[in-house]
Amino acid sequence: MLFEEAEKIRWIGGEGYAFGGWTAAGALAAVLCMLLYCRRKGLKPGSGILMSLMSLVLGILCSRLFFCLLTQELGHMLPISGWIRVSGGGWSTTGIIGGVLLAGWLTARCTGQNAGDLLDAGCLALPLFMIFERLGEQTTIDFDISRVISEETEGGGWLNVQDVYGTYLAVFRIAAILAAALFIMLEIVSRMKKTERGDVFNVFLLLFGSIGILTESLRYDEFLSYHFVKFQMVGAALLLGGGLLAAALRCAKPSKKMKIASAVCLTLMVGLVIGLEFALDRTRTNPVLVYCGMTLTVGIPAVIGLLEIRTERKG
Amino acid sequence: MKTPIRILLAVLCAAIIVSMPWFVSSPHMLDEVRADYSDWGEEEENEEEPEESGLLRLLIASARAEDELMIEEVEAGKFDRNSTYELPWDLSPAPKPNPDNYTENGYEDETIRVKLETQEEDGVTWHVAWVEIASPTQLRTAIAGKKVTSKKDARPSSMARVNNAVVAINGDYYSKDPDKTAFEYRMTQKIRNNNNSKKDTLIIDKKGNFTLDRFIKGKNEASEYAKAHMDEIVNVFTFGPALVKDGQLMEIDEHYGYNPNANEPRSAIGQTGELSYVLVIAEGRGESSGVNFKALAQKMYDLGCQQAFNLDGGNSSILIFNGQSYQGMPSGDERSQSDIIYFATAVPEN
Repeated sequence: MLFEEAEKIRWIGGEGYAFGGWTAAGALAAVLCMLLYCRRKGLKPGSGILMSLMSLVLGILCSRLFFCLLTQELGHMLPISGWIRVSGGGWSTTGIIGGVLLAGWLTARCTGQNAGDLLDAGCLALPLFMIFERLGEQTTIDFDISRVISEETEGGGWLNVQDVYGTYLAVFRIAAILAAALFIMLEIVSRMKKTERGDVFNVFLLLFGSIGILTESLRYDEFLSYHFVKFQMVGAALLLGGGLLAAALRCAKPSKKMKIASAVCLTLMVGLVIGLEFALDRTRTNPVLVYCGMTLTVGIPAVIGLLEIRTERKG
Repeated sequence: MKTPIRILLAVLCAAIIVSMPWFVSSPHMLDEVRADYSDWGEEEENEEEPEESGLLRLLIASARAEDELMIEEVEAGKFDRNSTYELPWDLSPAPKPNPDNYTENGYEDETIRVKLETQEEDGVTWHVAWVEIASPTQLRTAIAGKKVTSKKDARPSSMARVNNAVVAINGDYYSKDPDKTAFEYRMTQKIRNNNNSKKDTLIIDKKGNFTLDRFIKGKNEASEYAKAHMDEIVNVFTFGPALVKDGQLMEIDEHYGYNPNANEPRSAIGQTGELSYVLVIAEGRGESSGVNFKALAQKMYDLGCQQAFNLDGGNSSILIFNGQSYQGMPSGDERSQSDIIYFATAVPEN
């Protein structure tokens, strides 16, 4: 091995992983965020801590499960004995989201609280966790970076990583910044007067879905992918589609125009994203133009969903 | 919920968070796990070598050719076949070539002789590089990532420049192998030992000789060969098809991957004799029409190859000389890739 694959740290008298340290910090921040949100919303005592515990357990389990089921690293599925070898690496952020959403629903069932409140708590905490998790990726090597964007080996900014071969986009840092922006937006949404239960969850699905498609497209590390299919990008597209569907269902009187626009946008988005990915890989089209197109493609459905929610709340 | 239960839940939360640095190592799978589940296992690597004269040797041809220098001998040239300079079997950069030894279409010092030419034939532009080296350690590979299992990419000309290649060609872009069936080594480092059941394999040993494995359904000659000769393997590429094997022009399987019958840009590497090689690019998708595998195989055969192997083609196809694309492609147009094959001087830098 030329380099240490995963940076080590001293941790409580032993040796731990730096990436684990970052995720632990993220988990702590997320738990505190959930607890504060539950208190702010006046939920039953104990709901917040139960939701936190369930999110941690299910987030870890689903993250590992998603990775083990979909990794193509070996050309075959990871043997079952490898599934429990967790310290050997292999986690998926899409799985974490699934785990937290499941935790919200289960906690609501256990405590008799409204699921919308607990899903809101989970979705507010998730971007906070993502900030730390993404920044932690800098402690692993050659991970979550873009294609080479120039041959410059010096003078790159914080959003770049550079080595002897050139400059790469540090997608993990871009994703961390976007997660921070998303957290701020969700925090604002959660404090707005005219919001209802489940709005934070809905906005999270729409925005995290569209951001996820972009950041997964930017990265070029073959993580959880098969041929051109990036499973985390598919997961993000499902979140966005789910967000649009939720917006349509939650609106008491969704306009026919909005419904048609949502369906058309979603269908077009899938086709366009596939086409743009192909253009990136197989043609010499300017990547900046491709990503402008990609931003529009994933941004329009998100905006339509947000407009649906806004229209509904304005009555 | 009662307070003691809430305290218990909080303690459990804290325990999980505190333990995370111990078991959350990386979002991707670490190499130690990948190695344990992806190959034949280390214990098999030290199996006893079968006798060289056995059936295996009949099945797998290798170049082990006599001296057949394809470059015309140059009177009073600098190249010295008996040079004793050697390079390490690792991914470190080679010594810098002497800039004064470059000509427009060649390079020569006492350890390497390179001659390049461009040929126009039937609407196809071919770029051919003839290479002779004094030591097999001068036939090298470079990778874009910090470790061989990395999925990172880089522009081939950057890789060639950083590693001081005199001449280089694109490799097989192993990081993009979608089926992960590849059997891949780079400079003695194992990337994957997965049983290859789909593609032909090129094995380059420590004598600089090529061994080609033709994919035959139900047989896995390459992995068998590799198990028996693990200590001799330097580089292994899984791509193909094999174009010329043991001096014989190969028939191309019509169902082989990579669009076998279409005219496309192509790259190939061949061995013409002991420590003598040829790198070939057929330009395509432009003024030059590109070639299919049959035409590429014929070309390699006509160039005198004893063994020849197709590498990644299409937009990946690139021949680099003196740090730049020999076909005149601007560096910004190069498809970034995971690896290159290159030849370097072994003369130490002053």
